[in-house]
Amino acid sequence: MISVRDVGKVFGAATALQGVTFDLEPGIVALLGRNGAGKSTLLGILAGLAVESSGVIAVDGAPLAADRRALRAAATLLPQDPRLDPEVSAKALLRYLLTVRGLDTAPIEGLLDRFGLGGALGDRAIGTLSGGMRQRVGLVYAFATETRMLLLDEPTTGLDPWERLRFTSHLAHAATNATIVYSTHVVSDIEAIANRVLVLERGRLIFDGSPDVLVSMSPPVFVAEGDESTAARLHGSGALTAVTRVGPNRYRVRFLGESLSDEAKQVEPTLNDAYIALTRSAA
Amino acid sequence: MLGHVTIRHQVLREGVAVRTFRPGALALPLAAFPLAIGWSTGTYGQPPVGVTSFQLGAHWVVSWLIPVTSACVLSFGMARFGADRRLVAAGSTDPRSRWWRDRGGLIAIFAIVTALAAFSQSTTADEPYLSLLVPSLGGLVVAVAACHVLVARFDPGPGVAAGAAGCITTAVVVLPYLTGGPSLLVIDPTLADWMRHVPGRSHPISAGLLLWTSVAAAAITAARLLPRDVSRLRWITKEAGDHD
Repeated sequence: MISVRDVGKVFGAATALQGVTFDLEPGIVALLGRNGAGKSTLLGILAGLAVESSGVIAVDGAPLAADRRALRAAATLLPQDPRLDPEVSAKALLRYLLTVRGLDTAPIEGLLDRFGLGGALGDRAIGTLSGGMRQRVGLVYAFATETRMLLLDEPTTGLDPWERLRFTSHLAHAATNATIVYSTHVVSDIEAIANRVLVLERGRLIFDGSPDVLVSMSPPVFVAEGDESTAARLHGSGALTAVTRVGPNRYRVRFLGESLSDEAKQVEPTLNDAYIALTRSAA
Repeated sequence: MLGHVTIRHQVLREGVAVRTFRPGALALPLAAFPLAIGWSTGTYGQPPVGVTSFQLGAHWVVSWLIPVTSACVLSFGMARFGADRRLVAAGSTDPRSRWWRDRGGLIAIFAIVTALAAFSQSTTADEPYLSLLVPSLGGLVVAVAACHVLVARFDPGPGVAAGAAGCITTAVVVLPYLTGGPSLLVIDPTLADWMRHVPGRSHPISAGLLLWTSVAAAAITAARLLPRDVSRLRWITKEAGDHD
């Protein structure tokens, strides 16, 4: 178990994290937050690649000192935009990265097949692969390490719906033995798979619980149609959670709070609604 | 071609292949080519009595030009290139130590090229091989140390890395001769004497050579130990573009 107690991180005058406390156990944990909320900073600390400015991190009850080798050995970080040499083949790079970590390279072949990169594709230079395929190379690396903690930063960027499905299916399989922290600002990505949600807002942890609890905290949600001024007013108030253009100067809006008119229909809140409501009130 | 040699080296040693050097950096020596030709052909310089301009030029080439050019080429070629540092930093070996393992073959190639250049200058200028080889390799040690400390410890972009490594190496292998500073600071004492119009040759292993190689070793050690753990390197989790 990884314990994070009152962790803060400061870069010069900027505070990236403050007073963050939670425990991590096997399962899928969604880490939500806006851009700049501190998600990547927290992942870097959990990966043993950065050190907190204050607070304590413990692995299996043992607080970590300055040396973070234990954390690096236990965790694998897949960054949001990993730099993959375009001239090197996927297989060669994956073997290198696992060899650098002193890990077995045997899982690579099976995972390349599983993620649709088997056969000749794995031997092609990474620069000749599409963006989605390159993202899958990163996922193969993360899963091939078989470490007890996986830290995935926006892992579905560039994946088509079928690849997302394949990814979430494998994620669920991997989560039986590992702790997976899945950082994203696309709430729908984790709606069906996360056991637990952490929400960061301006460096503070403002929610730690199950998706169901987060949804239950949502205010009433309504759907209505209106013109551009209605959509703009809702957007300005921070109550808008979705908007779809349905005709000339006609919009279908999804919003939090009170019904605007008799025509507005109350609907079941989603995780996205609840997340927007939470971060709106925190802001 | 050098990139391919590096890849082959990695394949042979670990059964894996990664590129550790930006091949475009090999174009940088072209900028120094006119100077190398000028010095090698005895075009420039006023040697003391009994010393030819070819011999003086040969010392300039091996003691100044090769180390400074090597520093710029190595730093430009290695800075922010290769596998993502956040992935490599998770390895069982500290990335600053790993730097040597991944780039050892390339540095050995530079040492061989330096030795060949010294041999070539020795032949054309009729200058003893060792009096050219020792200062050129000493200068290369300084260049490699500057490159390592900058790239592996501070991780600047390629342009900044090349400029900074070039400046540091120039300060060590060029300035002491131009300023007429104490002979303790010069790696090639023969060249220092000749620039003061004093003929004759000093022993190639000089106090300056020992001093600067010791400083280089100390800098490499300090870059590895300060800070001790990779998590304290502030740049490690910040990934910028490959270019300045």
